[in-house]
Amino acid sequence: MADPVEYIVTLAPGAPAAAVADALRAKGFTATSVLAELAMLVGTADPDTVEACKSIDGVTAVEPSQPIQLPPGDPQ
Amino acid sequence: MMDILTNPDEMLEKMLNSLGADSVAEGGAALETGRRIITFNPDAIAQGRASLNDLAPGSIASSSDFDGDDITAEGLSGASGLVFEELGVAILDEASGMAASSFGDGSSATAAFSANEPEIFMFPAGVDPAEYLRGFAAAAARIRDDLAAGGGGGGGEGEGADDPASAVLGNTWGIVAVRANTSRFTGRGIKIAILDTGFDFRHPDFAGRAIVHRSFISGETTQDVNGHGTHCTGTAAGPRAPAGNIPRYGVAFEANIFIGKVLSNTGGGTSASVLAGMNWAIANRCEVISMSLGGGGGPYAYYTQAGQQALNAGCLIIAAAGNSSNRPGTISPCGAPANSPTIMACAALDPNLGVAYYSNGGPIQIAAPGSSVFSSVPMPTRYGPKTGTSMATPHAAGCAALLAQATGLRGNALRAALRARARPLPLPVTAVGSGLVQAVQ
Repeated sequence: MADPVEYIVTLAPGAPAAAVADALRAKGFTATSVLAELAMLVGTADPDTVEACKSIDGVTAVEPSQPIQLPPGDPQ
Repeated sequence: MMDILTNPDEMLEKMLNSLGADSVAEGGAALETGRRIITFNPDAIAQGRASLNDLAPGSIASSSDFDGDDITAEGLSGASGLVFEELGVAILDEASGMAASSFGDGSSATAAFSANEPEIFMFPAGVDPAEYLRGFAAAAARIRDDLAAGGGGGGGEGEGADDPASAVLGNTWGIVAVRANTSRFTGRGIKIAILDTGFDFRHPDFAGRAIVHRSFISGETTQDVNGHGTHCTGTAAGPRAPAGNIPRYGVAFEANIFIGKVLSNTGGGTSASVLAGMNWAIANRCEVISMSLGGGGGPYAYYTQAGQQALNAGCLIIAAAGNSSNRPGTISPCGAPANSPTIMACAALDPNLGVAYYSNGGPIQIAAPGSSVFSSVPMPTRYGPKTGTSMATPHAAGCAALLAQATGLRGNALRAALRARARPLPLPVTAVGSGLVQAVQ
């Protein structure tokens, strides 16, 4: 089993976040925060379970959290 | 009769008087000194000099009158013109009465002259004349004030805010380019979020400003150690009249500032920390959200949805296009989150209003000043220049705040209005979108 990875789960606007979170948990996804204004969940999961998470009703995307930084090479 | 070497104070006054709005808007038209440069026909230099002496007997000096190559102000005292015989040119003072209109009339006296042109001020390469002169004026004024205060250097603080001249002379090139300095609007009543490396709460230019803040970086407070966030905050919402004759560098000087620290002091973060900051800014109904950050790949569904949710809530997100390009040879695509269509991608311009060589392309929506941007940095340094699409983004965000105040428009309507009011540029839309963002007047 691979190490857990942080994912962003994007919900269809209006989808019941609590019910979707329950379904995600059943697939092995551990939610760490709810971004209510954005209709998203942040959490961790084994990469092998991601495809199953995507099939849950109300989920529109499951994408890994990406590194982000000051725009690379900000010239001085 | 005036000396050919004008008194420095008069020279500065003349330079500043020639700084019309048109010359600034056009990215720095040539600024004339008031003197003329006469070019002699190569085979008639002696005749040309004789003609000048006929016109103004005894008042034309020559470089051959001086030992070696050193021409001194003392030696020129009283002269209204100077002939550089090795160059075959003469410089004539405007007060000589013969500069502008005495030549080119076909008279025999002018047969020795091949050209009669205005002398212009010269500036370092790559520097906008207007910015250069304003900076020079601010420095000169500060020195003057310090001297007036007895040389202790302590008398300048606070005086600039009461000095009407500082509001006229003291603007960065970015403030002038977006026309924030002539706008009636201030950002009052508008909440502007800067999601970045935090802010230096000790900075004196923001004393008394109510600043709401929160860190989304584990183990780090909102205090900015990096400097990037303090610089961007200054551009978006810095004061109208900084103390000590510092030029105005902030657009929406009465906006309510919301600082979300989503990048660590070393400038790194994750989508999760950035999204948490976006969620917070939207929950606080910040009408404008400025994001000078980026990553590779995308567009990502989460940023696209976050942008849409923001618009639905009356919040407009503006993000940096990124600096990966090396124009004209290499144009990199816009990074994330700026490449999401619900987020306004901002490109960077240089002081000549050309697209900056580093500014990414693709789905650009707007452009703003990004190169050599002067703004606040953490104490004790206090001020400094930075360059990048990161610096362009808060210029656009500040203008969005002014427009939100002026019109009441929010979200997608605010975005459309901001683009509609942009100043078109003769550049591809993939480079600058709708053009140079403008402050509503």
